[in-house]
This record gives sequence, structure tokens and C-alpha cells, in this order.
Amino acid sequence: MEAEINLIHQINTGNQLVFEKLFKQYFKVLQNYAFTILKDLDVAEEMVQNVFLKIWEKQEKLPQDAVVASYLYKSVYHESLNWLRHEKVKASHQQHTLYSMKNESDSAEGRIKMNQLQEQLQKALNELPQQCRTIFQMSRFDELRYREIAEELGISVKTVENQMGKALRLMRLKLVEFLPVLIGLINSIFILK
Amino acid sequence: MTDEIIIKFLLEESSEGENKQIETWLAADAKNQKYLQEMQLIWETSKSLGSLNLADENIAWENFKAKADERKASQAKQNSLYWLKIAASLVLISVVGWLGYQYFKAPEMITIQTAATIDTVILPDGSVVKLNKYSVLNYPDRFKGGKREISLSKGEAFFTITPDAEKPFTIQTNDIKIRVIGTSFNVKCGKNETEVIVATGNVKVTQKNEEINLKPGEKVTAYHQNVKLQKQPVEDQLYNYYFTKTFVANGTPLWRLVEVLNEAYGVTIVIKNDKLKNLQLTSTFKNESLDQILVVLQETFNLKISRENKLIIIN
Repeated sequence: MEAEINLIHQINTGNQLVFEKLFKQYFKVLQNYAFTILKDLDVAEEMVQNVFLKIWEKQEKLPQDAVVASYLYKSVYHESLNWLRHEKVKASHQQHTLYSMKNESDSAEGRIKMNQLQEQLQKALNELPQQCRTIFQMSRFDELRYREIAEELGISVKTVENQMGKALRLMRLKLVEFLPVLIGLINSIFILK
Repeated sequence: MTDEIIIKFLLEESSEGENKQIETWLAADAKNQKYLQEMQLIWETSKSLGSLNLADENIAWENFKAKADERKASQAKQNSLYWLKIAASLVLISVVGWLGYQYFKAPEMITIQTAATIDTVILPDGSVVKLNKYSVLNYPDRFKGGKREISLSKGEAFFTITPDAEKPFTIQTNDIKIRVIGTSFNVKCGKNETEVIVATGNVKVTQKNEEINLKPGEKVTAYHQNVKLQKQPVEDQLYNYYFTKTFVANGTPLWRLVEVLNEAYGVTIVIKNDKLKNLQLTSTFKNESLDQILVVLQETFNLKISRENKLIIIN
């Protein structure tokens, strides 16, 4: 915690080297986080830039008792949702469809089903509460262990466990009607192979 | 079996004990296997929601720096423009405000009071007022609306009014009103009467409900006791001596000249011998002293002039 307070102080007082280090450390994970919301890498980069710009230009100071990682994820989350609110879902949905098409599956039928699954999954992911989503993100895309997530966000491992459980449970509920078909499909592909 | 443990199991976060629990749970029911499979499918599929083509953080940092610098420059520009706009607005507001204030505020009244010397007053419309000694003139610092109104509350003045048919000129004295458009005339406020003599143009004099029009060479004497207004011809040009510094006598009776001299020099000349009163004089005195004029009179009419205290006696 001592180090964290020191880091916040350095950033708030405009230490450029510390700021640059922080930017480079978090850029990728935050861009990916924004990408899972926005489905557009360029826009995702812009959202991350915006969050850092606000800190850089001292429009926003990091709260003294903040956990930097948690603060950054939260800011990118809100920045992205705001962007979506302005741009409406249409554009991002198009992006998403295009993106999904790239994913390969062995049969045409299977691909369509996979696309539908991804689409539903995306919807479910977008409906997760911010903290729940951040933890899921860190585990899924940044491939961090529970202990690492807990350390970065300044929370207990137990909380990480609970939030991960919640995330998967909520996603499964969204997908419950697809799953039996999909499992059958995957199994059949598996058997055919 | 809780979802938490199932996921821990999937992510290999579970403990030995938890692994055993899972194994038992899976063996107990095919439904449980299906449940685990579903969770696994979700977990595996969700991986594809992320992106593998993330930007390099060093390039991203350069992009970020460029954006920050650009914004800084445009903000500085906007800031200076912003202050310029503020400054310009303030100047504009003050100028408009000042003009508006000047335009809408009530005109200020100016009072000119003369003592032992005459004065020349230029009115806001360019009209000229020759104000005789011991006189009081009031006028506004600008003429607002469709009229020009001033007042002569005491003494005597000769007015040369700048023509302006749109804005009639009105002079108020004791109880009479003099209306003109563009003309010159003399107004004299006495104790009991006001005398108006017209030099050029037309003048309208009103006293209560009475009204009279005067042309050049005509005069009216309005008595305060309100005798009917009556026009009379102007007999001589002596009325304007105070600003012309000239006494013009043209068949003028001596008594009249004496009257004017008394006024002009603030003296008291008395004609003791009534026969002398109507002696007629034709002469012009320009910029001459009282003594010089008296000498001329003495020699012309062979008069005896003597001084007793402040009196000058003609015999």
C-alpha cells in the first residue's frame, strides 16, 4: 500500500517518467478491456488515451486512497460505455459481426452457432457489473492468477473467487437455451474428428 | 457444488480438497458433467471476445504523447482566443453601455450667471446667446427629443438661433414663452415686464392664452400684470449696445439715450430741464467711454453737465 500511495503521489504531482511507465504497463490490458466492450481496437485505444489524458492534463486526480489498477479499469469501463451511448449500438454491432466472421469453425452450421454463442456471450459480458467484469477480464484476457488480481485491485482472493463465480453464472444464464445444442454440436464435431 | 469452486477447478485455482470434491460431484450425476462442460464452453468461448491484435505499448505511448501535445496546443490557442473574446466583449459592453447611458440619461441643466461683464454662450445646437450683465440663463447640455427649451430667468440676452424646423426653439422667461425656429432677437426681463425685440426672422410670443407673432423691427412688451400683448415698432437700435458696444442714435430723443446710458454704465443721469428731454440726436458712439459720450452731448446741444455725488445732472 505504501508503494501505491507513493505512485499516486508521483502521478498527481506530474512525474512524467512514472506516468509513462504506468501507461506502458497498463495500455494493453486496458485496450483489450475496452475492446471487449467496444469491439473496435482503434476506438478502444482512444478510450484508454482519454482516460490517461484526463490524468495527464490534471482534469482528474487519482484519489489518495485509490488502487491504481482498479481506478484505471473503472475509468476505461465508464469511458467506453459513454462512447457507446453516443455512438449507439449500431456501429459496434456491425464491427462485432465482422469480427465474429473471422472466427473459424469446422462446419457452416457450427460457425453460425459459434457466432450466436459469441454474440450472446458478448451481451452477457456487457451486462456484468463493472467490478465483476474487470475481474473476469483480468482472469480471462490478462490470464492473471486469482492472487495477482487480488493484489492489483487491492481486494481479497475470496472476493475474486466470488466475482468469478458470479460472472460465469450470469453468462451461463444468458446462454442457457443455446448450450445444449452447442454441446451436442461440439461433441459431434469432436466425435467426427 | 458452488460455481466458485467449479470455476476455480476450471482455472486450476482449486485446492487438492476442492479437486476431490469436484471428482465426487462429477461422478454422482451426468447432469453435473454437463454443467461443467457448459461452464467450460463459456470460459473457452469468452476468450475469443478479446483481441490478439493489441497495439504495441511503445507505439501507443507515442500516439498518446502526440495527442496530448496537440490538445495542449489547441487549448492554448483556444485559451488566448477565449481571453481575447472576453476582452472584446467587455470593451463592446462598456462602449455600448456608455453610449446608452449618454443617450438615455436625463440632460444636465447648465446655468450661466453673469455679474458685471457680458458673456457669450454657445448652446448645444450652435445657437449663440449674448448674455448681458447680471443675467441668468439655463439650458440643457444637449437637446433631447423634438424640442429645444431653455430659460432666461433674469436679465437680458440677444439670441441668434440656429435654424431647425424639426426642433422648435423655446425660451421661457418669467411668465412668457418665446417660440422661434431660426431667427435672432433680444429678450429683456424687467421687474414688471418682459420685452422682446426681433432682429431677423419670425418670433411667436405667448403669455397665458395670448399669442402674438413678431416680425423684424417689431417688439412686444409683456407686462406681468397681464395687460393685453401689443406689438410696437422698434424705434431705435439702442437695445443691442451691450454686445455691439455701439450706441446708434438716429433721431433719438435725449431721454431715451440717457435711459440706455444709465443701464449700460450703471449710472444715474438726470435731465433736470424738461425742455431738453426731447432733443433729437443722430450719432453713433462706438467703443467710447461715458465721459467721451457726455462731452459730445454737451457740445452738440450746448448742455451744462454737472456731478453731484453719484448723480449726473444735465441742465
